[in-house]
Amino acid sequence: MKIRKRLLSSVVASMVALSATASLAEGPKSGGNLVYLTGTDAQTLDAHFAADSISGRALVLIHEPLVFPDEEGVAQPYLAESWELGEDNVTWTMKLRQGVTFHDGTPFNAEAVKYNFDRIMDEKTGSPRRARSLVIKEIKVIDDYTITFETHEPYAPFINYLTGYNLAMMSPAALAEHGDQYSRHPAGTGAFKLKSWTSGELMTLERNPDYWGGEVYLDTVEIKIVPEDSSRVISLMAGEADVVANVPPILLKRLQNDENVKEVRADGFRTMYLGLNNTLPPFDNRLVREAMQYAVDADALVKGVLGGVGRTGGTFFSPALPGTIDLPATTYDPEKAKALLAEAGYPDGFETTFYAPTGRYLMDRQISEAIQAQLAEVGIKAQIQSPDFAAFLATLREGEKAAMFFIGLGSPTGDPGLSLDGVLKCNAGSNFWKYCNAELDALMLTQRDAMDFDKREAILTEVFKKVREEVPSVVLYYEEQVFAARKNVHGVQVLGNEDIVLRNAWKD
Amino acid sequence: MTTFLLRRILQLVPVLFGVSIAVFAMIHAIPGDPAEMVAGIDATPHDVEIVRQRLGLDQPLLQQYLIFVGNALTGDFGTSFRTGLPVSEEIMPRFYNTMVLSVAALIISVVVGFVSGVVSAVWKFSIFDNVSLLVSLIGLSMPPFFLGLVLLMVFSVDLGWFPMSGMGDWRHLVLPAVTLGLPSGAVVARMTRSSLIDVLDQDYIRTARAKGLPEYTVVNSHAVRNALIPVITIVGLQMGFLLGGAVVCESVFAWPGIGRLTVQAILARDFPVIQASVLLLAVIFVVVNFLTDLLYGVFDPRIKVQ
Amino acid sequence: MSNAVLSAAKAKPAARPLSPRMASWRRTFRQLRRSRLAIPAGCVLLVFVLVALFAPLIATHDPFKNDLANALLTPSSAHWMGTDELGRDLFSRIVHGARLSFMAGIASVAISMLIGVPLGMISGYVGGRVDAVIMRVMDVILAFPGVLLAIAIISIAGATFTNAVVGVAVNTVPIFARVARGSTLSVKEEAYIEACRALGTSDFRIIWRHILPNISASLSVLATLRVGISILVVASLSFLGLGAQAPLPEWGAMLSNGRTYLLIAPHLVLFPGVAIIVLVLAINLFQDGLRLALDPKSANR
Repeated sequence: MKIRKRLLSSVVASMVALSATASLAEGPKSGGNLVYLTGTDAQTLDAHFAADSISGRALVLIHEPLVFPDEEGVAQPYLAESWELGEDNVTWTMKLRQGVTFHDGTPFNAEAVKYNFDRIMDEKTGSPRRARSLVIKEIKVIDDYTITFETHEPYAPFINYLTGYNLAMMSPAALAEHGDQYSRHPAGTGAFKLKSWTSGELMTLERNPDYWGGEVYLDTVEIKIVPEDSSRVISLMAGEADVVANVPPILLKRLQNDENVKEVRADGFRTMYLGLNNTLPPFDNRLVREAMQYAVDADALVKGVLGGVGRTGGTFFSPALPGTIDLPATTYDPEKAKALLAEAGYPDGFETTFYAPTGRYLMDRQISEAIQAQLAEVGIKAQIQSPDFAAFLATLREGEKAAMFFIGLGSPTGDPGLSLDGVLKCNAGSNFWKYCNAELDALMLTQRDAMDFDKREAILTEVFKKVREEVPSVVLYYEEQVFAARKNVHGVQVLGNEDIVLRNAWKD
Repeated sequence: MTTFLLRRILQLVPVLFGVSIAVFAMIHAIPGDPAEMVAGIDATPHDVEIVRQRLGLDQPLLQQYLIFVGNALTGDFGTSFRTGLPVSEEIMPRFYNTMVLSVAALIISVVVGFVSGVVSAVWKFSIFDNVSLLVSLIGLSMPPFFLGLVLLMVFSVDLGWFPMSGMGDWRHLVLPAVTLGLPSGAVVARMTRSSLIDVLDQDYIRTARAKGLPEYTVVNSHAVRNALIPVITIVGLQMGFLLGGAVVCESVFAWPGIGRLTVQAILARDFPVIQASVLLLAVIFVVVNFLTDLLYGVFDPRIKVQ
Repeated sequence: MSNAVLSAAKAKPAARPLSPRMASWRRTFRQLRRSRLAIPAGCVLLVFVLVALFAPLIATHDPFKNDLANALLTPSSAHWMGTDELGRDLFSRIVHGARLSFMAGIASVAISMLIGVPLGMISGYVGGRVDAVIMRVMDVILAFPGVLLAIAIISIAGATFTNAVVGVAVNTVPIFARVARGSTLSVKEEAYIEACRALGTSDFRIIWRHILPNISASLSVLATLRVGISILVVASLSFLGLGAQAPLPEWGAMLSNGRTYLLIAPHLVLFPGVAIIVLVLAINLFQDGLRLALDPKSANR
């Protein structure tokens, strides 16, 4: 299988990268406590109820999915050692890793995997992430370490779908014992187990001595909740913290001047959009949408407001997602924008309301204000409305009111096909732009059952090019994950989906 | 006195009942769907529907309200939409944190306010008195969060004496408690000063002075004790103010208290947590006001007559 | 014991959440009158009023004009108070912000008076069940600590400057209702009201023509005090992101934005903060002068 081959080659690549970093010093040291500061606390450690990336980030330190993305975002064997797709293109046979136990001593085996899938698929569980699991028709336990998944129809994103934090494996015994209170008593297979957790303050993890993936160097990890951006950075510079999440761009310079501190960056999966409602005038006119694209100077936003954190581009999804092509960004051209507006029948611009959440995305308020000022240059008067996020979401779902909005969409699974389904298909759940194109829908369906990687990539490329011509909304920039660590901390990995990997981390 | 007490306590019942209706009505009037928030931005409509059923939000409103009140009367506030944990488990640690902050602020307010009030009264119109007046005035005219920001700037950023935010050892408590406590210390100071000046004018103090008692004894054992009475009631009231003011202060210092929890719960549309925390705060607020009323009654016989 | 506290307590025991502060103010300002600070305060207030009225003439720059290349500048001769994170002139924004702060204070107090005073007067005049119901409703409003009720109202109606003003107004209604009720209760007992009633004057006429003028002095003193407090509360709400929306140059919102830059550009926080303090201080000092003018009895004490 072509996909298998590609996967194997990238395994080799990432192993090399790891040993290269390790050889810089005398080798990993064991022991120590790592203090990790982040802005928001996890809501739950129950994988089936997590619906935000922060919870996902915390729970995959304790739990592991069957397959896991590497730094390139490509799925790698994890709890599953290998997999094979049958001739029928719908049956996946998976070999599981042997000798793995959950933190509570329950053995990890095919029954445990089935138990997890049965739970998320059961309507009575009430999981907010049930819908996607419904692509699976049947799960069969072949033997202790072999399991098959049969999908209803050929489903190319299947393996990527398994990388999601919602499908991290939890101990069946712990689930049975604690039910909906599992979040307080998690038992995964990960390198760390939960020691204590005070909501909103501190989560302490300790080393899993029986970890299947080799020695875990750190004794303990303390995840402290420090909501104030600047506080996190100051603590890091003062040496009170070892790793901090989401460094604010304005403090990056200060950090770069500190020789005891280093940045850990990763291209993010999240794309930020100036959303336009394709069913409401004037944005039902493609010329106006195109004009918007020329009227916004995304480069100035990234350089001026974000301090260079983030990158611009022309693809509808972040190119960090494997399988996404990298189309060039539109060059800022207010004159062309004005000409297009005039052609569309708005020579003097127009007035509109601009819905922009605050405190949700990196520097969101400043970005929306800057966009507002840029649009004013071409005669578009945008009035900013900043409802809280719940009200913002409700306004978008109503679809009648919000003609223009600022929004970011990530990819919980790291598969562009899954994102396309959710974001651009007619009437899809997160199709906030109310974009609908039957031709494109048909094309997107064909990528789903294109089991051949190259063929799928070709279709995806075609889709992205087509989307770019149509301008469903303006792509502003792709977020970048900026973490920072003390110089004596090694082996910390940050992934595009906002996960942080600490299983190889150690301190001098 | 007993009937007066009973009557006042009975008056609290409809108030708390009214609060429960008001809270319930308001959270359902807020735009935004809790099920959407729980399911997240990538959810499909199917996911949202499943969540809505699980949370019981598909029930008629009246039924939801009756379930809420019925359970609340037995002390059960349900489980949080966000975390799935019992609401009491969510709220009590946060409430404890707020109490720690408020009590620390109260101590600061009383100590600072009382000492400077007494000094101002004894040395009326001295430099200290005027400076203290000016500081009090500014304290009362200042947005509460601004003091917090200035303290942050000076003591955290420049001097690095105290951490900028969060909870931990006592050093974390200093700046939030000062921010919250100083403005109410200003009130206590002014009150102490005027109360003590009133008392120092009384005949019995003049008598004591005339007897040749040293000024220290006069002030300390005669005047201060009597001047304390109105100050105590003010202090009781300040407790209510501090609880109310904690919302803003907790947000400046990222203090994990109940005020911030409530605001976060409102933003996340976590109905059970909003209901429980607002009700809890309201009960405390009402009880503190009630006790203060009583204190007035105890210290001022004229109220009893009425 | 302080007379101010006593008189407030006598009027209505439950009215206390306000009275100690007021009492404290009165005490404070009695001393102030001697130092004659009320008049300079009035002058400062006048300056703010003029700045608010003629903001476009005074501002040196367009308060909304972005200039990303010149962001976060420190004060200079070109930008007297420096520039903010989007390169906007801070001085011009503060000058324009004066309008918003005045509007916030005056509008919210006006709204709460329009609702609270009639309610309180009816409550006090009619008494009985009507009184009980109105006052219990007021108790419910007061049972929400601090700004929580305003936050809830804003969450329902949407985070805008107007809604923040309305939210603060609702918070303030019970305070006016209670004072109006208390004053009405004492005026009602006066002989001339009895006389009016005996003459068959309608209740509406008695309330409107005889009671209202008698309680208006104490109400306007309270109103001035509340203007200052309302400005602070609206600023707090904006600080929490629940008030004025970008790019409005509201001082509380400016403080909130500036907080992000506390480490590298503290002037973004200092200038709007000082502006609020000076304005509210001036209002409070002026309020005391007004109180003395309107209530000569207390001046003689």
